[in-house]
Amino acid sequence: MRKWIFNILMLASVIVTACSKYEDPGAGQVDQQYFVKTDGIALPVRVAGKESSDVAIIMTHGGPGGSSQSFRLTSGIRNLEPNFKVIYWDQRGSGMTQGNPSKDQITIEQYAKDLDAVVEFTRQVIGAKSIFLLGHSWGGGLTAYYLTEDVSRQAKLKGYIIVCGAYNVPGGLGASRQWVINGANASILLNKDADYWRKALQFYNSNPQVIADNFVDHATYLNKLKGAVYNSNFERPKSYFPAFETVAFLNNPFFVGHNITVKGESIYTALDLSAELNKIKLPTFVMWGERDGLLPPHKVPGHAAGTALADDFLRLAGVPEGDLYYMGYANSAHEPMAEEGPKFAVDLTNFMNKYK
Amino acid sequence: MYKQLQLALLLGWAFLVTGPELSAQTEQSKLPIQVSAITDLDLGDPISFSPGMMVDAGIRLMNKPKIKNKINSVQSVRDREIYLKPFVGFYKREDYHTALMLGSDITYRATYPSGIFWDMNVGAGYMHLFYNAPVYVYDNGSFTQKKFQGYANVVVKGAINLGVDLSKKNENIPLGFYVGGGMFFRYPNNDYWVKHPYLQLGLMYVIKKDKK
Repeated sequence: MRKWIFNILMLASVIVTACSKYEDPGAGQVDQQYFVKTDGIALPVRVAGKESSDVAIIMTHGGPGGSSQSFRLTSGIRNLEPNFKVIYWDQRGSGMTQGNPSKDQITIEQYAKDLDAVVEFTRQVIGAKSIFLLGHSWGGGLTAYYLTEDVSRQAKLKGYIIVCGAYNVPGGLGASRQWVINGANASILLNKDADYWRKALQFYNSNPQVIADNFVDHATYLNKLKGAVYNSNFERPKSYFPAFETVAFLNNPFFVGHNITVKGESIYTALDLSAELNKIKLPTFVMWGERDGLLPPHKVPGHAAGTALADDFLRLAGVPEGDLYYMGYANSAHEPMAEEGPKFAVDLTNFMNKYK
Repeated sequence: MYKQLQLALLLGWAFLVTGPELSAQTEQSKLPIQVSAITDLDLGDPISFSPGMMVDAGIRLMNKPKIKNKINSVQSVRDREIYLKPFVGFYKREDYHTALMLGSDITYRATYPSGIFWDMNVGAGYMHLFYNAPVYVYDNGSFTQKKFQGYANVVVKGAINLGVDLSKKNENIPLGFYVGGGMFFRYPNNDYWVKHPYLQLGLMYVIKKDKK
């Protein structure tokens, strides 16, 4: 009898102690989770990197609905940690953020307020004296909005990094749609999966615009043409993660994607900050995968509007001459921090060292 | 979810229909108190396990024993019981949240003459989730670190267990143990239910009292 009870208690203790193990960040490094609660929602913020550094870079993820913590799986961002503090935060309703925000709060206006709270947290609580802001994909749109909605915010920052940024969503996705149509036509000409690509063309005929409701279908065709990730043979650093809920994590892009608005309208149809870019005066580094089919950096043949997100940004931004840089990654699509991670990290480190 | 609700209603209906008659057959009151270690499973890649614990006490609502007479005239009794089981429990997800649960299950349990039993549980309750990292509240341009920050959810759950009730054969050993698994759902998170499969391993202490 006693033996039975002992065995049961031993088994129970194994279950109770079974959990994912925290990863020691190493000497001189810090890796700490926080929550920044603002307007009723606690945003998860992870601070990882050089403990003694007072230079920080804030990662603003894409999606919408993604997670900045997934950047830790890319060498382009992870390689920054030995030199700087890297601030990974997840947006309202996104990634590892918990709770139940009202749909009225799923707006770019609220997200910009949230980002400002994270910037202030980095300054006031973490003690960073030099702060850089990075926005990737949708995060590029959010950060551009943050900087142009209230230009006084730029004084809090030393520099801005936009990576494959969605500052003009309808224009960018229009170019993306044409990019896939061109790829489909080329595949049909070469008789490669011709039936599949004919169906794709039918889809685009009946969907003249890429919006939240058809985005997944578009992304599926895009991925088939390697328009999101061109070089998938890259090194993935390992990372400890909080014990988040995978189900919630995977549902969040749908929740945010279908609800997020700018001035009350879906960002898919209404977010175009092209006319605002001249307000950006910060030293700015524009980083783009040259093979990006999701938000093409250059003009796509056949696209009537002629949107070229990287080229347009360089032309329209109000950054003083000499403080605006561009790096195109020839072997990357939409994820250059992963696809050409080591080079990405070196380029970004050089930029930050110059302006910190 | 809908099926779980249907099952709960069915069990309640069974009690209402057969309860009075069955109560008359009950000669002992029985209160099983159960303590179990639980692990909240996350079926991501890799699968992760978050630890927790659950305590409940079963208030027996009915017992409908099934009696068989064996050849040597010894009776073999299979208990068929329905319990109302208030529960309290928690699980902890590292650097994410700790959830406290409080609620009640309705349980159908069949216990065989050997003491082996299985049970089915459906329940609902309140869940409070506390953030598992320092929380800084931003207000009017400055930060204050605050403790016990979290948010409220409702929880519904269902579980199946298999175990042994040693008191069935020998009333001097008021113990039992069981293993099982189930699912609970918390709501709302971004307007949807978040499901959590879990496993449990428990000890049971059975208080029996003769009715006069």
